[in-house]
Amino acid sequence: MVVAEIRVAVRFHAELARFAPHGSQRASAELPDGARAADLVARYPALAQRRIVIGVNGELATAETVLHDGDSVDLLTPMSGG
Amino acid sequence: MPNGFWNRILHVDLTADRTWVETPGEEFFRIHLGGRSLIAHYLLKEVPPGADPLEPENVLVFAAGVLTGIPFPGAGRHSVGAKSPMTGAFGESESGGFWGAELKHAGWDGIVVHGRADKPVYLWIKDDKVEIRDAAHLWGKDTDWVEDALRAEHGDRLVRVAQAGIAGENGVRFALVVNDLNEVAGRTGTGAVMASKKLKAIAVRGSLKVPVADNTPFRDTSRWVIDTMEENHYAFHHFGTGGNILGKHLEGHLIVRNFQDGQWTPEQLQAIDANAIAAQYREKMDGCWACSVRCKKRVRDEAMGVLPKFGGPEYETIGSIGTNLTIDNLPILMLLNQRLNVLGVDSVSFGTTVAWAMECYERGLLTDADTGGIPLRWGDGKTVLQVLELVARRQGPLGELLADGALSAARKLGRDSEQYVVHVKGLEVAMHDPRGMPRMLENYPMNPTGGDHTGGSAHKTSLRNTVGVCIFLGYDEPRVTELVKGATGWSVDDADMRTVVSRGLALSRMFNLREGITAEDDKLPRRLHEPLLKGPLSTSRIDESQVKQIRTDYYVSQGWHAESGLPRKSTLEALGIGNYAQYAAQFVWADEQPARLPPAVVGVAEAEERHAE
Repeated sequence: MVVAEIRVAVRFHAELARFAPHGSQRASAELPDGARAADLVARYPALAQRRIVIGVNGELATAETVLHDGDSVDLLTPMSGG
Repeated sequence: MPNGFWNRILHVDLTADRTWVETPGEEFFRIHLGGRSLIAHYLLKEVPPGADPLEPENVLVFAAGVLTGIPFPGAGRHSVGAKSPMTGAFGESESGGFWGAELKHAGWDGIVVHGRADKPVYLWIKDDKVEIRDAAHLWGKDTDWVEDALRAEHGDRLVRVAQAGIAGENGVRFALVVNDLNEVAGRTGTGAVMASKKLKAIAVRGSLKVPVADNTPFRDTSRWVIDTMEENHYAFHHFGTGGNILGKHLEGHLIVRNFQDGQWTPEQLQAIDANAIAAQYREKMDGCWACSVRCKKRVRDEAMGVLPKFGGPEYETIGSIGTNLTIDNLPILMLLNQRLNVLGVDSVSFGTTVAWAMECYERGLLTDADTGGIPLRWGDGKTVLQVLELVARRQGPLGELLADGALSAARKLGRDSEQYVVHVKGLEVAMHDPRGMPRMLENYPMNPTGGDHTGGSAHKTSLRNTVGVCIFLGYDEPRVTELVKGATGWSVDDADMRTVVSRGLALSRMFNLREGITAEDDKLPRRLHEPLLKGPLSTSRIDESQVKQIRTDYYVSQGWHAESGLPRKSTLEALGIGNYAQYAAQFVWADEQPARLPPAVVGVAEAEERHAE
């Protein structure tokens, strides 16, 4: 049985860049069709205990947001000052 | 011999062309520790009520803290204060770099500048040798020219220079004091005060080591910062400020078009954030004195003439000039950042003032006749460069209109334009929108300096700005207490540190009350009570009753009268500053309670008890 997959682009901003694979701020991930943002975040165990902001295609998302093929996902920490 | 401080305050009377040394004693430093509290002491004591901030009766205070200049990360901080020409209120701003540590290494805890020279001068400090020198050759020159000239004059590349820029010379009310070319005491217009005294620069060189009672906490803290760099300071270490701006857009509280929108386009803002700077123009990261975090960007763009010595855009500049004015051209943004530092202009006040002008232009309230034919359109970075040069020199109708800040400009312009000024107490609000950040909702109305996000009314930042430690370092409250103990040898605890913060807040409050700034001024501007136009926060708004409740809670927590915000006599006495009532007697709530520390010091339980009173 063939499981349908989607591919999303992932960008790790600033502090989260250290958790990105291969030392790049940008990565791609393949997920099963119907995957949620939480499923993507679970691919990166270091993010599990962190408070993060998730964006999908430039809009605020939640862990339950369903991802689609070609989506662009941004992972960030909340900003407090500067 | 004291530890952590020298017991030496340098006084400079520029009118009388003389200097003297004050040795206020250990108890004075136990009370104040440095920074904000030291500034408040001198403003209350030395500035006559109602003084014009740009006249000789104002004083300008450079204040180190008891931790400034001790070799551990974050200790390269100093404060600059005066009665603010922006607000007429307590003025205070902090800076990093090397200058503050150098001042401490020269054997000084602070400098109080009085009066006004009859011609441009600069102050030369080499350890205990102090000279007021002629600065005719420095007046009207760019900051890098001035620093080079002073280093050449003294034959030492390690002379550290704090200076007022051309904007300060021209009386631009949001002119700042820049040190080391790329660090600034940015807010509240202290550069205008400095130049009003005809004081162009303070050049310092020191050879002393700050004595400490116990080096253990400094050694341990330095090691902790290095060992946990990836966990605690990764973003600062690799990107500096401004790497997470997209988060503000996603959450809907990005500063866009004079605080109207809350969102921009992800593509445009990611063209100018710290990730983009790192990828395209960053030459290296650099640090302040003794700091291993090294969060300072150094950028270069040969085509635009952008040089690393002027640093690189921090978040506040990316926000105030970039997202707020919708300028997505990174080279122009970097050049604007450089020109701000060359001219000595606060990026937050400048950006927010221009944003007000752009909104007024868009609404037809500000016309070409008012701007001298200069069109003010969102996103037009080249025009903003032109406007900056005009403002710094007060040239043309637009330069003159904007050089006193947005509130003053609106009052000159009229046409109901004041409703679009985003300010607190006359100081333009920084790049953190209280509609999306509860911490800033609590901070801005209560902040003694107005719309500043750093000095603040909060404990953590206030303490850091008093003892002389960077607010970016991930130190918890007990660590800061241990550092103060290590520096001074005093037996102090966390509650003592909270007491220090409450002292500084009470003294700055008394100064403000004396200058006519009252509870009515502890509020947000109209714009911040309006819903944002875009994004997830567009359906919510801050009610005025929320701010009033925050105000009351804050007064109570600080032991001030719940309605008027006058510090209670019983609170001042418990804080050990009852004697300061002599400088603002009418503005102390003369209760007959026994001396009692405020809830902000002793905890929530007592706060609830006071609510019940």
